Amino acid sequence: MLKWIPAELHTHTLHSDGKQTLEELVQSAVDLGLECIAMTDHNTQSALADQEQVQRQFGLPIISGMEWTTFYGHMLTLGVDRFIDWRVLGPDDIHEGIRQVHEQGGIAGIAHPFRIGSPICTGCFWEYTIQDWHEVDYIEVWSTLMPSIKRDSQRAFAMWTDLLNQGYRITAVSGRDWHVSKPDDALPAVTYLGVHDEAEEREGLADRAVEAIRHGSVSVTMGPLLTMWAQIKGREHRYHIGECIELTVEDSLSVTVQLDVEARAAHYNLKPQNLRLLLTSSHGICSEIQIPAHTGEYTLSLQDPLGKGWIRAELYGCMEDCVMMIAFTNPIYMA
Amino acid sequence: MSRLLYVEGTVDRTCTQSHITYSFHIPQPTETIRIHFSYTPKLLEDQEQARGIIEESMCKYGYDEPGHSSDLWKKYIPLQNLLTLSVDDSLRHRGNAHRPEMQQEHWLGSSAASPGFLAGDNPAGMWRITVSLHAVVTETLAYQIHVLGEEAAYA
Repeated sequence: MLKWIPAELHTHTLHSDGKQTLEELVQSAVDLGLECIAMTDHNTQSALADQEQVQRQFGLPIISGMEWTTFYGHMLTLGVDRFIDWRVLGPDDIHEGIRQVHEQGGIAGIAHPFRIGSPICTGCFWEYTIQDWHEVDYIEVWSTLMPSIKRDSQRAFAMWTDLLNQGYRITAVSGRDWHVSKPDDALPAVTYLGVHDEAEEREGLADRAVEAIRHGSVSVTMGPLLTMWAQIKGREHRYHIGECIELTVEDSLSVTVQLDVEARAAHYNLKPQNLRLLLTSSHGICSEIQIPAHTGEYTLSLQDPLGKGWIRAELYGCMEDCVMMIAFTNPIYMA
Repeated sequence: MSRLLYVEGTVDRTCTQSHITYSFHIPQPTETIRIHFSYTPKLLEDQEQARGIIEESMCKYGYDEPGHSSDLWKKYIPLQNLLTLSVDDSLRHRGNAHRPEMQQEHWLGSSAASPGFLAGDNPAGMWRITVSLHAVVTETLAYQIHVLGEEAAYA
């Protein structure tokens, strides 16, 4: 059974330039209804000395990670424990760094690729040469608080869509870049990770969370949980977010989108309204309906064979007095 | 307490986005290694220079769309120098202090270490301290590194 875990994947402590201990960070995460975090301090993993004790204390899995805060880009690594030397890599060498991350069983993602760069924020704008986007596991397409209205995030989201259109399967996530918690913080986004949770065990959840990102089993939101699955008409099998459907020309597809406004409902405010639910694909918008801001399930038929490509759900409406993209799923792919 | 390394250096803007590494010998296992690191100045005070650098950066990174206020560059002042320090002992990487303060005190002990660094034995051999110059925005910048070794006090 697939279970959706609300997570924060980009955090800092006072072991780098954050203002919080690991314990304070995790307490704040629990207060926000999160069930998993990644610890991604700048160029150090020393906060992870307290990882096991803090995990036990709060019952919240912590993914081992680091933010490679380099001169040519900030790269997030998850599921990595051993130090990999970022200091020796030049602007054309990032694939060597990614190779070493993969060699350790970890994944590599690009943090806030369009934040203004040097010397205002050194390396914040991604300037490494990517020779093969297949090797990049994920992109942080939403960054900081209230990300979906931020221009940097919109540029990153557009880049991700363009890469999907070129045939790359790259996971999109949000990242708060969490340095400090204040009572009047604006709304953060949440990355939901779809993990297989047959045993309902917390043990190993951090590893399964990394696997979820690797396989694109991810949905990103300002509040409500948006998920979907697809079925080839006349067949039982359900394809979930991140999976790939082998289609033949005569197949037609039905896509079921689920909106859940009950999960983490205490942590955001979604006023009564009509929301726009879109299915978008490599061929543009393929379905659009108006839905109420309630928990519900919507099945959309795609009669026209889509061929190769991808399909994802997007939700638009008003939150925090802003009209915005509220949520999006990662794609289901078609081959 | 023994002095293991003392260096002073001066860099200019050409050094931005470079590393300076000092390799030095620690002759015997040491209970605690203390590092005093400082640099000055922190801020680029000259507003005209700051404006030029910021506007160039805004242009390069696509932040200067038509219609933006001509004062938008002020959003990014003051421009700051940012140097960080990392340590490798003779056997392994010991961590990095990625933080903005221009005066920093770090220590590595066998059972505890200051934030950013891993506790553990401090072996004899060739150690390395690397200063990563993430941003040098002032015309010149001076830094100092002072490394001291401290043996355990046995009764």
